[in-house]
Amino acid sequence: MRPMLQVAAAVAVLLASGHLAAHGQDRRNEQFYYPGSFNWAFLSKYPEGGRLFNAFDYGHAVLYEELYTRPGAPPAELEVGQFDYLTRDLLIRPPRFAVAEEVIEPAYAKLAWKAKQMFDWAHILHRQVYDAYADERLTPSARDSLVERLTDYYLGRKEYAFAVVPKSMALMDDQYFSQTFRRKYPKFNGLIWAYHWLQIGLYEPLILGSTPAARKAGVQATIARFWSMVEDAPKRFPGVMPMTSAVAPNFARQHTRAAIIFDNLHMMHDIISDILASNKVDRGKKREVIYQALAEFQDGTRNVMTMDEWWSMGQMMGLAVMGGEAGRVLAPPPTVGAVAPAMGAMNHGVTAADTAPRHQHSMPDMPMPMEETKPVPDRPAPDSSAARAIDFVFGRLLLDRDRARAVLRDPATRRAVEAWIGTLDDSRRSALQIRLAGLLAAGRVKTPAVKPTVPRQHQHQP
Amino acid sequence: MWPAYVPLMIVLVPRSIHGAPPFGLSRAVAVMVAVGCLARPALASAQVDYRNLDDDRPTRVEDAYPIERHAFEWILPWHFEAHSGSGWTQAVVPELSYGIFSNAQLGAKLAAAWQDLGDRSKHGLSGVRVFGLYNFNTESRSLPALSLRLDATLPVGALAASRAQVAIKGIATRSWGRNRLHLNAAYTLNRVQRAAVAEGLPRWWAGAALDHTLFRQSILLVAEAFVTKPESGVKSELAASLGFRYQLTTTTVLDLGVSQGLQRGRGPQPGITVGLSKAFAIRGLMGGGR
Repeated sequence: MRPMLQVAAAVAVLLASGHLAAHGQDRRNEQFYYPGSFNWAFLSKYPEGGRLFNAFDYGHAVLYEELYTRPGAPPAELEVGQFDYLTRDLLIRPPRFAVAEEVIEPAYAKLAWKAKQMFDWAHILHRQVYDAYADERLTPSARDSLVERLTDYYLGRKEYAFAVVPKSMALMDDQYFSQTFRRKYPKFNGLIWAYHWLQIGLYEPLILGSTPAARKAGVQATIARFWSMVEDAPKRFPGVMPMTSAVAPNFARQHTRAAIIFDNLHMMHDIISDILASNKVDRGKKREVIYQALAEFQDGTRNVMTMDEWWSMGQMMGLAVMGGEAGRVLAPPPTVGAVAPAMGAMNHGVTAADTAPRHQHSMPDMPMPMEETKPVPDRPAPDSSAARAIDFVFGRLLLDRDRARAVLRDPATRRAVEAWIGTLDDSRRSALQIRLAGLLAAGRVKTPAVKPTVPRQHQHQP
Repeated sequence: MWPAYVPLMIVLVPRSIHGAPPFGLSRAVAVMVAVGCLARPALASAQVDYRNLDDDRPTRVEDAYPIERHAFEWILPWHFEAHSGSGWTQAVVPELSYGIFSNAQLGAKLAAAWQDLGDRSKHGLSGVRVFGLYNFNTESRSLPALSLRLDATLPVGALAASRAQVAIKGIATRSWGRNRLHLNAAYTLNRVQRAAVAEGLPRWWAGAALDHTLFRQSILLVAEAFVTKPESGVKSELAASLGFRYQLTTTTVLDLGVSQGLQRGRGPQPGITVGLSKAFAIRGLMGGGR
């Protein structure tokens, strides 16, 4: 009996000491993902996509680590050094398996473990939904049911799940630290948005393709389009954050909850980039502000946009500016992706890695992807930077209810906006006309979408 | 399912010089191996399991992190150690761990050993070990990851210790860049007259390991040094090991290590270990989903 008492006493003392020492620390709290034989089907069947996603993880991780540990470093270190490493090396020969992000971002992981865990948990859902779509053994109804089950499992971890209602864009764009990252690092930011475009966009060819061959061709065409963005960087990068409702509308219709989760995840990605990059957030406060933002994105009761607004994001912002709808053949030119790499050093069409992109030579010979899908003309990108800027500004303006109402009180501005809407293609024009009418209706909006949490010390800064 | 090289691992366990299969091949071990091979794990696991440094896989020192909640990890290792002078010991120690709660894992090992003492050999079970590991925190800016582990061995088999033993271990892990430092210290609370041939608990031991991650290749390189006091009245031994863990597939990790006593006549002369681990989950044991 005595030895047992000794053991119990020793264990109790050590447990108490451990808890005391670790008081106030983040817990590891890792959890296994939903099991099933569908797991890893995407990596196995579409390694050209699965391995790219592995490389994307590195890009996100190194970004946060650099922003946090080297706040005074010249922007060129990310914009040139890391950008070139990513686009000329890592994305060309992406890792076989997921990158252990903790290795790439050790300081950030220590700073904000919960954020890392929330991202990991959402990335697992991302990956598993791809696996469900890639498993040819599943019937469409079984697959859809599985995706909903995966989403339930994801949401079951309330401590780490993003809200399943779309959060307001103002959280990303209108806080005191907002847009710091994209202004300071436009090229890297464009690359991150291109990542996000592909991460949500690859669902579309898997849905639209009616045969395995069509799905494979569609995936390759979509990846080729991603590469065309990278090759022509930063010109073809998305100009705003790609939204799932716009870029992958079929997926968003089939699995709306997952689509919203991914949009919230991607918004949170940008918000953390801004918090880390902004010198308006004291270094000692970064963790606190990140954790506040995490809490906000887990709260589905405030600062949310309506489902109508979420669905009309593509119309409001301009689908082309988001990178265009994925999974569809673009016609007429620019048929992005069908062009050989423009950058001589980026010979990623010819590489030792089996799964590296081969669009350099495969695209011209590739059968028209998703032959059952009629080529849908994407709205051609504005042909000048001025037109693109007007498109962007007016699109953004109409998204922000309060600002739009204030500005539209001026008749001249209103006429300019109406004239601009008149130049748009039919579907976008009609959506924006409805939006405009709603905004102009008296009493349409009474409360701000979001109250930015401006710390007292920054309130008086210009 | 297990890949084709798993049966090969079993074949690799050398035959007795007398022609009999090693340790008869103990039925219990055979059953555990068969269960591990035939179980249809509802596939899962992170693709970064190669960084989960388990004890003896391949170094004695382990990291402070448990396996994920709901995860099972099945390990099938083989170990060879040459004695100073003549003779050697081989052991197969199948292990199953389970992430029973957040930040906590339970596990069991069954050791089967085969010992050649020059003039004679013996084989048989060398005890059953059950253990639990609890992690207090993930690493932060101010504190390393800290864990506590409790091991209990049961005297099962002819080569087991003469009685049950209990040991407590403290574990710390600290990282910088792509490197991590792990510190382990363990103390056995009770003594035995006869120690186990394999998987025994020494009186105390302490060690440090340094690992480095090659993230593109999914390889963990690890080196360690440790000092151990096998029993009271016996001199302590200083040894060092080198090894790696390699992610073979999305759910399977291969590990390989060599160890060498650093004092003449004490510790492994040398030792080698190789193992496969596979992670999986069982849907029925997980909450959530519809």
